[in-house]
Amino acid sequence: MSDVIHIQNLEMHFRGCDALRGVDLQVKAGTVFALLGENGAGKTTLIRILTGFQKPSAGQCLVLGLDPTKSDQCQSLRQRTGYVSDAPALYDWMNVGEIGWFASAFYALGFADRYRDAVEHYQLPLDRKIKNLSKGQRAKVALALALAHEPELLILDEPTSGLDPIVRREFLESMIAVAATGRTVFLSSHQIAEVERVADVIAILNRGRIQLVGKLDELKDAISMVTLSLSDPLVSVPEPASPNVLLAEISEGRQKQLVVRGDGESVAEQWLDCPGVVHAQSRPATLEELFVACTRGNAEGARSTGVSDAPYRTTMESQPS
Amino acid sequence: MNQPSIAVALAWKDFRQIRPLILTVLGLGFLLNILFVAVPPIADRAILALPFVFLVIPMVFATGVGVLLVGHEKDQRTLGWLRTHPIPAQRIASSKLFVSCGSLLMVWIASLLIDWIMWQFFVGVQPGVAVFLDRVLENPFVLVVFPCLSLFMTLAGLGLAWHCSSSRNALMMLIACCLMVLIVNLIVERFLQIQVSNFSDRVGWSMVWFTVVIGSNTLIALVLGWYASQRYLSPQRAPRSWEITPWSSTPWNLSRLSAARSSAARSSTERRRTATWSASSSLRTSVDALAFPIVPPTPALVWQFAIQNRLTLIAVLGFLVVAIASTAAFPFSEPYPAPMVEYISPYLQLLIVLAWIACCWLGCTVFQGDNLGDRIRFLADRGVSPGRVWWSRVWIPIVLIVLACSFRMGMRALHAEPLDRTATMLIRDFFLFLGGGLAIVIACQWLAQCIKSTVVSSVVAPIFVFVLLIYGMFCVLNMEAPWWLLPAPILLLGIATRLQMKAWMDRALNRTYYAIHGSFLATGLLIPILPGLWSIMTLPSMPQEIRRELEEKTLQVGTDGHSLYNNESIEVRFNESSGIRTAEYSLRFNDEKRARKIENIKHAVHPLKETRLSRRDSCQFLLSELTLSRTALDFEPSDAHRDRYRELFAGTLTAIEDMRAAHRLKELDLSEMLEIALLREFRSSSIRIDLGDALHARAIAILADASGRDESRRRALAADWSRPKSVNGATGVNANDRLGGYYLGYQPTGSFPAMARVARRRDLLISKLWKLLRAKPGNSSSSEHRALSSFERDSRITSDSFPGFVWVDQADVYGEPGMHWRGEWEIEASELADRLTADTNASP
Repeated sequence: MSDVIHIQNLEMHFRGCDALRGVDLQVKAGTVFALLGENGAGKTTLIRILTGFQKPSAGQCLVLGLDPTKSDQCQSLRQRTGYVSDAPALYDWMNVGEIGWFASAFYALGFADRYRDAVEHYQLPLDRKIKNLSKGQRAKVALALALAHEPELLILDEPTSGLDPIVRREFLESMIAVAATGRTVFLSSHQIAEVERVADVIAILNRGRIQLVGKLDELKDAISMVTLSLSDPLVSVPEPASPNVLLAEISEGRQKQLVVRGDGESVAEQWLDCPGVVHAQSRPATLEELFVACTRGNAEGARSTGVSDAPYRTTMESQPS
Repeated sequence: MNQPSIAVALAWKDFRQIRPLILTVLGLGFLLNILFVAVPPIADRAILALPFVFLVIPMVFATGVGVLLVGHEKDQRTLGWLRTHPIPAQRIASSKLFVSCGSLLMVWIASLLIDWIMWQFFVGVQPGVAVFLDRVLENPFVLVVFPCLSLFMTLAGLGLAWHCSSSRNALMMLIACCLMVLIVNLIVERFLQIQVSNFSDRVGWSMVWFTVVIGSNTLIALVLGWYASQRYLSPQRAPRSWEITPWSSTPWNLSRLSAARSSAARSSTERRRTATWSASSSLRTSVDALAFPIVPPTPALVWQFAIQNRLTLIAVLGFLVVAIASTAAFPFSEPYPAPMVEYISPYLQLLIVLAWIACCWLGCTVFQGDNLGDRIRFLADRGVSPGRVWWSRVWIPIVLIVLACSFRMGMRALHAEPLDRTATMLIRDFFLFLGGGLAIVIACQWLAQCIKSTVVSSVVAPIFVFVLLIYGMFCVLNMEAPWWLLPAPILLLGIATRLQMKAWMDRALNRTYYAIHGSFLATGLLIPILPGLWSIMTLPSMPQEIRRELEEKTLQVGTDGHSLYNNESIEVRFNESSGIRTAEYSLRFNDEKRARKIENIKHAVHPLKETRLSRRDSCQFLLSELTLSRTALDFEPSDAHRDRYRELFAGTLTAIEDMRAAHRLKELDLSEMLEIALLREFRSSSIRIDLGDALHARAIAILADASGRDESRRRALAADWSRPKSVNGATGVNANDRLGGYYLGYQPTGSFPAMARVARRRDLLISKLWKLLRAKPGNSSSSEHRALSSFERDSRITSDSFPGFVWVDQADVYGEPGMHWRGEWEIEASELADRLTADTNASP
């Protein structure tokens, strides 16, 4: 499969803030790619660069083989992508039908019919003004507009934030349906549960760096959470034996939680032999634990070994060549 | 669903976005036009006022259209959504350019049309339209410079809106920009005029100069605006390396500068970390902010308001200070030397307009800043009291107005003439300006609470206040409102903003919200005119019974189809009688004095020689001829003189019949004058011989027909009562002061209560006459009526009139309708009929 999105060493610096610090990422066609990260991690900045709103400070990115930072290619790119932001600013004085008619001017024939179908599917009233719609209905209008031209790539920036569970469910189903037709979905979110339901591949972005990227199933298999009970909070444990790798570490009093890539059981046994370690237990890490470990763990307890700076990648196809 | 082209879709969207501005500006312009025409002192100079309104509408629109098209979209973030679609940046920018210029043209045309309609239907007549159009079409400033200026303002507004972060900033920058361009060009233009004194056509020179300068500025605005639009619509460039270091950014910001200084004092490692702050460090900063001392809520709210609107407040204060200082330093009345006056007068006028706009924007600021992005919900969600928020918003504008007025008082105390700077005058001046300033601020704060869009409220506010001002004049001059009621609407608007604070903070801007605001405005506008309305409503009116009878009679008159206006025979006959005048009288009068006077009377009929005779002149001529003929017959009873006498007598009778059938009081009164004259002819003992039996019988039948005469009077009354809006067939503004060709007197104030009084007085006069017709000649009511009329009548019939001669007076100017009704002559006429009957009975 070819890369729909290819990002290489992307950097973005603002005044007093480094939003992106050397991001490398590849997204294959036909996948649902979820970009996870806490607030302020740089997700929206990355999406703004991908959609051609922002030029990066350094690095390269290609979306559908086009460079979004170049104005001449940006138009063709937008023709082939659909974008829904977290709070879509639609013209609230238009009604649902009018905004579809208005947007249809910018795309090929058939947009209006597909938009009408989508509106009927979402049970939206065509004659109601946008300003009189609920937040969920607005989000549905935005999604219908983004999908009506059948884009090759759908980019969603925290699309379900603030929506109720039913609307969120409809959204997720729409994404699965899009992916089922062979198109690619690039989803940014910090809603772990929903990502877990729909995503094929996830990446965790923290403080402008990709901490972890890979297929969700493989990540769950390959990464373990080792919980250590210590006799003294100051007790430290050595690096796990190769080929196992310590990804993150969280200390809470006399308890340590360590995210480990590799065989968690053997690492737990290794640490149980260490002085001061009273108890060691290993189990497969959940996505939420991964997320917390990659965000909080790195912020508070990352070691000077540089583990947090080296993004972990599974052996999936999206690994950079 | 048809799929439109990109250009059509964008133009549709842009036009829909500015539609509220177009409708508001045109609506207010229309209202302003009506008020201009309605208020008498302005209406007298409406020929000057209408071109002013004609210019104001497009200029105000030009101020707002560019900013609204771009700035509003930026504020609402819809431009960001638009950019997610595959639309070339040039298409978006050119669509806005096209729509703004197209709508400006449309507003110019609509403005001209409104003025033309106003002139056509309200002010009156065709020559006025011609004069107005002449003023517009012949004035180069109107035709060339102002459209150029409006185009410049539109394009500059667009460019600044692309450049500035918010629409409010763009609007202020636009005003500053225009001011700079106008003042600089004005100074240069006047300087060149003074230096090069051989300009024969100063107006032409000014026009060329301003057209060239404004035209070139328009081009610059177009180019810069286009560049700004493309820069905004392309991918945003990343900040350069020197921009992201803390100490190179915004050195004027003291807090950041101090942060940079303190960070410079740290170690180099720490400094590197400072340069790469992340979310967690931002959190730390906010935690540090909590270390500030806790302040009471009201000062905190005032601080938030001041910081939030600092740019506007500083700009407004700047405008006010410059305007006040300038007007104090250069009073209008001062006789400046020749070169100075060329600069100062237009500069001061410009400053007055600016001070006006500044006060309006100060009022708008009260709620505008919180309207943006529904910021006020922050306070609403935290349960801050609406009253506290209201005071915290109102407090700073009030203080600024008080400061400005104090500054003005100080400047006057320093610069004014000694006679003008007495303590009383200074205090009066202070409170006058304070009241005016506060009124403007309150009115505009109400507007800002009603209109959510910052741009629309800012643009509309100066016109809104102007409309209120003209409405105040309308109340005083047209509705006789006492001056102390004028603050009532402003106070009510202020109360409305306070009462609606909670709904506004909760953003419950629904129909109820606007209905309450609308009802406050309507009540406020109603209060000053209540005394006038009360006086109109309590005026005595015509009894219903008489009104009903008049209506029935009007229907009869209408069905008869016989009225003055389809009966030209009177005019024709009277004009034919002018041929009679040319007949030569060969007799010699014994009484030369009498003959000379009669000749003089004939010569007094001035339109005789050239034009058609008026009815009054015709009657006068007829009677003078009849008198001459009668005199000739008395002196020389020849057949020729008798025939002549009979011819004139018969003509007079026909005139009486025709004028009775005219259904108009003036004609009826003239016919009764003729009847009185003919009755006097009957005093002659030889009248039957002079007239012959047939004419004698016809004359008596007409003169003695009391019931026919009364019926004619009733019909005339009914017909004249039902046509108050029509004077001589044409529509008149104050037609109620006329009745059947009579002028009933006009009160020059022209207020509606005065006009109502005139109309009611007319009704009462009609009902009085109607009642009079129920009385018989010689009874008390007829005597009273004649006593009332006698003063007028006696003053018109001069003492040196000949016995037996009736002078047809200037009844259309001073007369009173029905002045001969139920007079003694009617008794004489009925006695004549009785006498004839007795003679007829006796002769067999």
